Amino acid sequence: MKKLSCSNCVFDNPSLLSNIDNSCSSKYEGRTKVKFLQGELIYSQGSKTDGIYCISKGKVKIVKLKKEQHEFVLWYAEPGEVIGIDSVINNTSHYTSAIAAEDCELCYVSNEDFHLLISSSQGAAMDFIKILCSKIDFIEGRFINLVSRTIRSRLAEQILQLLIKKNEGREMPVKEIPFDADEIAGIIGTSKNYLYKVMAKFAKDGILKTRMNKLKVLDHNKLLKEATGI
Amino acid sequence: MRTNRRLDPPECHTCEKKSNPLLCTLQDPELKHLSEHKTYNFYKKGQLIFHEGNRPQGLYCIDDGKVKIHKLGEEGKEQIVRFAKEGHVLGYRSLLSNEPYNASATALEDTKMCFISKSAFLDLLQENTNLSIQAIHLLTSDLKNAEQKIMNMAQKSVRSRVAEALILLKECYGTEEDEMTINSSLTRRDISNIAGTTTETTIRVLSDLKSEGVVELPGKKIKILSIKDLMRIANIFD
Repeated sequence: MKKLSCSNCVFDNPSLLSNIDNSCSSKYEGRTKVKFLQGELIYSQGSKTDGIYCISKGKVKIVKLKKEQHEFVLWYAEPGEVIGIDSVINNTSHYTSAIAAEDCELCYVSNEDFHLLISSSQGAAMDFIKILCSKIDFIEGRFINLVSRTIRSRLAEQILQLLIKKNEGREMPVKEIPFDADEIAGIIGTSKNYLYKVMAKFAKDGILKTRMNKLKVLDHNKLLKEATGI
Repeated sequence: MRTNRRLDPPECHTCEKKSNPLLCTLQDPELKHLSEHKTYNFYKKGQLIFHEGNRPQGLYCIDDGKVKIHKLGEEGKEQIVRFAKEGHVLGYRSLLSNEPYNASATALEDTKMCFISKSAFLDLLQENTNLSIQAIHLLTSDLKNAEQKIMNMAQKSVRSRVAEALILLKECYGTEEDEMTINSSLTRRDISNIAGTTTETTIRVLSDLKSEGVVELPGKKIKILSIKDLMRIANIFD
């Protein structure tokens, strides 16, 4: 662990410690730097830490893990950002987990130091507020994006996922999957009637073909385009 | 735009609805100062309070009534982000970050609100470090809520999202005397905008729930017969 000075740590975006004056920053020069390797867990949901981490190098992914489900990435934190805030501010256990997405270096700021910092320097508190605001805006924006996607693009994504599942561990990928209209309509949130309508449109565009209870993907690229909208 | 009906504004230091962590930790002299610098307005049901993309002019604090915070999606579809009721503060995030409003706010019923000007609030923030710590607290819990919501949307089925919307409505609006009927007359369209689906699907899910005996639908109202079943369907476990 080596010591470092905050005044030498410069980022483009407002960071937690970028706005404090020199007399103040000398107080925090005793902070400790911790290193994590790619894939290493920094903290896990449900646990508690007595401090926050300010990222100085590398990327960290903030994820939520659920039983029997894949991890869901909420956002990627970049240098200058602060992670692990919720536990310190509200004195609760962590709501999310943080995993190093690449090899990274983090500065550990203890709870006491952090509170001292935001209560002594108005600029630092405002910067910190701005970091939080932009994070919330980002998440809400993503949320709206997710919700306002059309049934068409949700269906395309669902078919792609089924295809990936089907081809797992196969050497020769197949293009035909069993198709249960009830199940798919339930997942993407529409009625069976409307699902058939969208399927017919896909068939007309030459993307797929349905026969009996089977579905065959004809144009994988077009389907990908429908799903991502690019 | 605003209908001023010569209402007597409530004094901040005697306000009984102190429930928001932002302004209510202030001391009496500061609250008196706020009372002198605020205005009090009346909004009719359905009236727009502020619009997405505009620059904030100040802070709104709800004295009476209910407000929905909503955003426009990609294809012009409305999505309700959250509800606010008495004692809640609106528009603080844009004010703090000095950005345009991220969402619009509309009165859901006749609403009375206090309005604190931008300069009065920012002056207060400069002088009072405790206030900025309170703001950080508030923002951290907002961040957690936003994360929770996006998780739900990405991983839950439409059925559980509708069930969750009903539970949210019950918490926000409360119930009528029978302690089962949700005390609001929100349309099916509003419910679908909370659950992030179409009106048609919402109606279908609601009638499914009705045939399962979880809810009853007398007219526009919704009566929750078994909150336990509804919680199970909504899949709330953390």
